[in-house]
Amino acid sequence: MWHRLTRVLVTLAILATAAQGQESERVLSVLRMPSWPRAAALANIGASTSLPEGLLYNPALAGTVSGLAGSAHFFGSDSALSTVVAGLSTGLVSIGVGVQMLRADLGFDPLVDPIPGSSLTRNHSLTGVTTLGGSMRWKGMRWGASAKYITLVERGVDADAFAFDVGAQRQVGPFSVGLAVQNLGEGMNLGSSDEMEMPTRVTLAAEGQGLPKGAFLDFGALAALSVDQDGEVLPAAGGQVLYSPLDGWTFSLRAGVRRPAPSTNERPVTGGFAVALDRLTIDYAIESVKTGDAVHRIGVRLR
Amino acid sequence: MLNRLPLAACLLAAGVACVQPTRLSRDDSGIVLARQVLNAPNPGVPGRYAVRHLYYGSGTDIRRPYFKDSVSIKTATVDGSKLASTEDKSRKKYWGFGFDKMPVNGRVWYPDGEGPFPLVLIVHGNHNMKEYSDPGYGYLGELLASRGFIMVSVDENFLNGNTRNENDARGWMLLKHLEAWRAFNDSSGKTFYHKVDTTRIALMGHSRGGEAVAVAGAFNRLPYYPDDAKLAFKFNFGIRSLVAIAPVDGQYRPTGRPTPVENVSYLVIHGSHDGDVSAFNGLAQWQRIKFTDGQPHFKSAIWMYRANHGQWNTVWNNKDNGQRSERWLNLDQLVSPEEQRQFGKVVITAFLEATLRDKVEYLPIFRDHRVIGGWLPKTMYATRFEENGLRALARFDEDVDVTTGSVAGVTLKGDSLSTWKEANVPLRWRNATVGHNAVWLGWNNRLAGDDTTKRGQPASFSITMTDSLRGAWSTDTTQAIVLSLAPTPDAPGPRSPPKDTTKVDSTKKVAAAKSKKPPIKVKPDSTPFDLTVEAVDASGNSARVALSAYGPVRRPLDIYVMRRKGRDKANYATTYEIVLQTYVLPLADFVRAQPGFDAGRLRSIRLLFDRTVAGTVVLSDVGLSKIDRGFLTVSAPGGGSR
Repeated sequence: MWHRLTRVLVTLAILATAAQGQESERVLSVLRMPSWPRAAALANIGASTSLPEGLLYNPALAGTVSGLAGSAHFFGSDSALSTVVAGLSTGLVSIGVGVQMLRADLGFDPLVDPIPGSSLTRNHSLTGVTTLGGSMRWKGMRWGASAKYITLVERGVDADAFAFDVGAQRQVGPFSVGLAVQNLGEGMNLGSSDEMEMPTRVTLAAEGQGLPKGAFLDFGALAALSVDQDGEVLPAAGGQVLYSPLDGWTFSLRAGVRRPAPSTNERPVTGGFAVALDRLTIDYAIESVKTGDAVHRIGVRLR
Repeated sequence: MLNRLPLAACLLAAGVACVQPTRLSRDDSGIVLARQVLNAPNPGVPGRYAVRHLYYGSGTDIRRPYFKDSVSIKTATVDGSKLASTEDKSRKKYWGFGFDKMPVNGRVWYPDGEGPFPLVLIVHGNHNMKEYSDPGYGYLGELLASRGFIMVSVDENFLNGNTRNENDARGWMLLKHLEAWRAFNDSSGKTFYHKVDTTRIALMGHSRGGEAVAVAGAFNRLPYYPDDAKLAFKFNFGIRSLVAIAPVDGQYRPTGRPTPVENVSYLVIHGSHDGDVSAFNGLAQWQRIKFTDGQPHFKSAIWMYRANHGQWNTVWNNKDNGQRSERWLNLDQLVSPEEQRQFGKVVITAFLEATLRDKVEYLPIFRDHRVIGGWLPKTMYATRFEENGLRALARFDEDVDVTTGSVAGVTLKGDSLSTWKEANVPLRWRNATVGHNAVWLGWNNRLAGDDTTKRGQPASFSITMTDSLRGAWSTDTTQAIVLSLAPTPDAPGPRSPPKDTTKVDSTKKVAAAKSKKPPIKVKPDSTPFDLTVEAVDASGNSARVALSAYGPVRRPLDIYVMRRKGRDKANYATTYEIVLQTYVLPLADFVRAQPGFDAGRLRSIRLLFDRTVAGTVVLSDVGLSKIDRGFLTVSAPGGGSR
């Protein structure tokens, strides 16, 4: 068992590093940021979660649950990420569509000499990602693929690129197990010698839901092992306690721990909570980052 | 911190507002069950025999030691793969066998005595297959064995879990157990050698097992498996009676039609607050039980208010919706497990005593539960009843003519009714019925107008026989009028006053003016519901009795099973169940009420809606019965012959 697992992980690491080829100083960070508050609270694990937003972690989860979800993420500085995901579960093929918009604070423009007496203006980049994915069951597993179209506007430069994800998911006893290879594709050329690399990532994740304790409490746990474009092996684990005092009402408390990628300013511990009232779910996550201010994420999901 | 208190308070208030408060109909058991009229030993208390126990089975069970090392009699496995086919690998892995090698496992409670004793098999229904259901009927096993029955709780846990369309297999397994018991009884030197009365057998089942007993009852008389004649049947056991506890119905349909069962006595019990089989589904099978051989059979259906699905089984208990039932279901309003099982013990044992040991003293229970007010837990009940002596005048499902009855020579007529229609009796589930018709009769004796005290003549519904039919049936005072009826919550609006023919158009204008007024929201009527039953002879002499003297006449009882407010209305067609109560009105009582009335020349039966101003009732299965006197030996106070 362990031998087989080791082999899988080594293969994943080789895949990831081979896909990227070489280290890059700049990556399209929007593609590796937590796409959803639930995942953000749980150490950014989402490759095995059957929810509309699962599309952004593993295309095999595209449309497994019909619904619409929207979230906003507020960073300590003047940055924000907005995400909208929709899933439609049909008979044969399930479809998911996602749109993400990142407005990132780039700080002061170093090339502009301010007029004496006036303040410097801050620069922002705008990144848009449109994801279209589909999944279907075949041979006892769910398989999926998605395509992403990424556009970036930064310091007066427009650029675009395509990326692709493939994934699989299977229910193994009480666990949902997902395997995803994300962000395959060429990097984004911003002109001259500036290029942004795809944050290729291979993730194996498992999630166990609904271990009941009494009539009103459930425990859930999840774990993931990712290999990023730099060949870094990034383990992560999370857990949540769900309290359902009434049919349709659920209050969740979440926490996660991970090994952050060295190239990011993430910290190991994440947390959050959620309130689900019938079809409406409000997720909140908090993440501390090395630069100081915490990142707050709020999401609304409508099933 | 303090400024978050309002938010917490709001959430708490919202939570409280979303919880369905306990909502039960007013309990009338203090009056209805006030008296214990039946003078016989309480069937719910242990009898004179010491109770012994044993297990029989494959002896190879890998999950349960008692079906491995503790087996006293080894049995061969049976191949049920033709009947149960939805098998998955994990099931086979868990049990260590497939449907082609199903074990004949049973746990037995038996009396320490010579015998021969009647044999009773009970089988559980569907449940988590890893939480074994068969031990859950020990309370019945102990009681029945002490009273001289051999009771077997049949193991069908290997058919449980995520299975579908396997109720034929569940029923067939019961018959395979009876085959084993035939062998036990014939094997000299063995424990049960000549100790089993194989002519007196009853099958009992709970939930899917409740349907399985009907399937077994049907298969018992068949030469082949209806869905694959390559499987031959050689059963023909002496099954006298069937007991269904909160059964499902129609999950197995032999050759695509509802399971037909004939010539066995049948008891079905069901709880109003069943969180699993949440409609009285067993009424459909109850309707389909036919008596055609002229032998003394009867069928009874008893509905217990505030009983659930699982408390009939000590393993299942109040988890009708799984381990987290408290999250979904309002469990506070249930009767206690002990009360529910006490009811089961009393009626099931009485039924088995009556049908397997001919103890006729218990027969009145199944006609009118009020005669055992002292034995029944204090809640409300409704009883359906029919015996082989019933000759139907109107079952309302023969044709689409509302004026004709079930036999030639019967005419139905309504007078001053606001509602008169025939339809299938609905169940609480959406788009589900009992598969049997009834007539809806609605009336309002108040005349439209400002004077709310003004009444018209009482509405009525009559069933009239021709002279030739009366002659052929030769009615007399030993017979009884039988009818089944239930009020509904509907009450039609006031009726239009009769036309005054001396004034041109006077009523037309009044009616037109009235019709423009917005409808008035009327409060639910809480006055006692009753009506008069009138028998009229060929000379026009009539005799009247109040229906309520022959059984409770109740408006529908509230059923709110779910814990979340609004869920019941969203999940079910109604928040009540129409359970018809059967009333048996001896013709001798009419003679006693009006000595001039000649029961031998009965011409018509009339329901006179004179005791409740407005209402709607569902009426079915009206007939005359040459009822076995055993059913009439005692009656609840207020009605019935002695």
